[in-house]
Amino acid sequence: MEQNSKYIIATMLSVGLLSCIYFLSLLLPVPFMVSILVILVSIFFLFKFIITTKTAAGQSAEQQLPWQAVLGFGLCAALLVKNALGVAEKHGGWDAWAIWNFHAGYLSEPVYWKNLFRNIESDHPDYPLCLPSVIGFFYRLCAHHFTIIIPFAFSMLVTVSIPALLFSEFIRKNMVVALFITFLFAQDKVFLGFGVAEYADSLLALFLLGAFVCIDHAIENKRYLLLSAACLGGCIWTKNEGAILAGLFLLFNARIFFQLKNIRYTIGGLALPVITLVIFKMNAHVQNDMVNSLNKETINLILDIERYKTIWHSFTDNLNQKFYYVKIGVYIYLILLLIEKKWPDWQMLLVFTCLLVYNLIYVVTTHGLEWHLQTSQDRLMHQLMPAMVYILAKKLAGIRVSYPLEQA
Amino acid sequence: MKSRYILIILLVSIAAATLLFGKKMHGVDDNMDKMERALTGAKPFIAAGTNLQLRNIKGKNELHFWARYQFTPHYMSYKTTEYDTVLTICPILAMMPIMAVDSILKATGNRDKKLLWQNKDEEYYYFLTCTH
Repeated sequence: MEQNSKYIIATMLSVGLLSCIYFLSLLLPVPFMVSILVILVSIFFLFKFIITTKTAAGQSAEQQLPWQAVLGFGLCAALLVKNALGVAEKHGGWDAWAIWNFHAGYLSEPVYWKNLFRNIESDHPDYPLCLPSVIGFFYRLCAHHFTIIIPFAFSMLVTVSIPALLFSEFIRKNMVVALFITFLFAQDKVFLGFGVAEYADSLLALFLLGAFVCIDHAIENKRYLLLSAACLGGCIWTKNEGAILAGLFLLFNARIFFQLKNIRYTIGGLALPVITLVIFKMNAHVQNDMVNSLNKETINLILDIERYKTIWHSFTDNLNQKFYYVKIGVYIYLILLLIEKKWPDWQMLLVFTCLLVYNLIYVVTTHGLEWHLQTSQDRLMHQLMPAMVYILAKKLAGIRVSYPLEQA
Repeated sequence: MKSRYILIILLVSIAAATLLFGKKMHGVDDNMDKMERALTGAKPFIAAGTNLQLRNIKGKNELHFWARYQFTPHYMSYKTTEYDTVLTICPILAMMPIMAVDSILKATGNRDKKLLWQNKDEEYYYFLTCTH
């Protein structure tokens, strides 16, 4: 794995680690100074663990890049910043102030933070707390100053990390592809809009992308298997639908993750976020509204063909308006498969399955279907988009996709 | 060039975006800011751990979101009537602007309540009341 990729993966996993430790420290409760110390020490060892992980032969720690690549990345970063500022709102999007930053406000208070779980009116106290814990930690660290700046800075970190990780992964394999996808993200105001809206969707997208990147490197070192599992843990601790993504990812890669010799890596990566989530759910005592709404009427919803048509129309509208270059990429991908007379690889099938499962959830929603689609379908597509771009770019860059441990 | 320049660019872009965002938003005044300004004076009257009831008189639904955001970590409900401390938000247009405070309190269901704090801005009256 590229050294830059390692730093980005280490940073995103540090976010997950910080979040879990801070949340658990609130529960125990532990003095804030102690939790800061534990967090700092844990992050130090996490970085040491990741940065010192040996990579494929021939990759040295001190790597050189062509100046054109650095210049191109710099220009894309400048474009990204300009476009992100153009779509950013002072308090983020609706869900930022109604859910994520609102929850962060509670988690920044050591005594009455559990009031968060009582907000069942127009709120979702069952939503996992990865993002609010991090924001809440920094609110508290800064004594409730910079409450506008902190969520924005964090959202920028996540938003920039997605194209940066993709760039880092492709720059040595195909510079044109690396720069092209970085440019696509930098000019994409929909992607940037979701990013700086201060929602958890981009963080979930980053964790999922990290899981794909890490598992592809598991052939170099099995530590990457642990990191891939940790990324999936991050998905689970970020959003409820992250559990669906993680579950499908583990299912599609069961022969790798659950091999007897690998299972300790899988458990090692998943343990902390899953334990934290279970403890959180036990404390929240609030069930998910979607799960609660399943009843005898659900079968009628499943049999209603019109619902499928509505979902499909909304999906194609979103695809055409907000994810047009992914659509073009998928067409090119399918044409290449036809020419090569091959089936889609497992990673693409996994993303398609995630997309299918996401859309099937709308079939059984008891909320107004059109309202539900309008308010969330594009965000769900956004969560999968970076991983899909990664898979498409691998195809374009001519990188063979296979089960990474087959040769191990 | 060394590959670490990519990380430096990454950090610089986050720092630059944050600085520019802070500068750009410094002069922006939205509904959340208005609510924050309006309710700041009420906070010293609310003891730690107090549960609040919101009485939103013909106002937008968003008022509940904006108000509870300002009062975290207090719990604020608009459905229950069991809490003693009540925040009433009432559009000025719905009232007679010349009405006395006592009349407005009565009209908004706060008859015989003790008025802890009041405020108004260009859109709303704000009252914090309790029974005792």
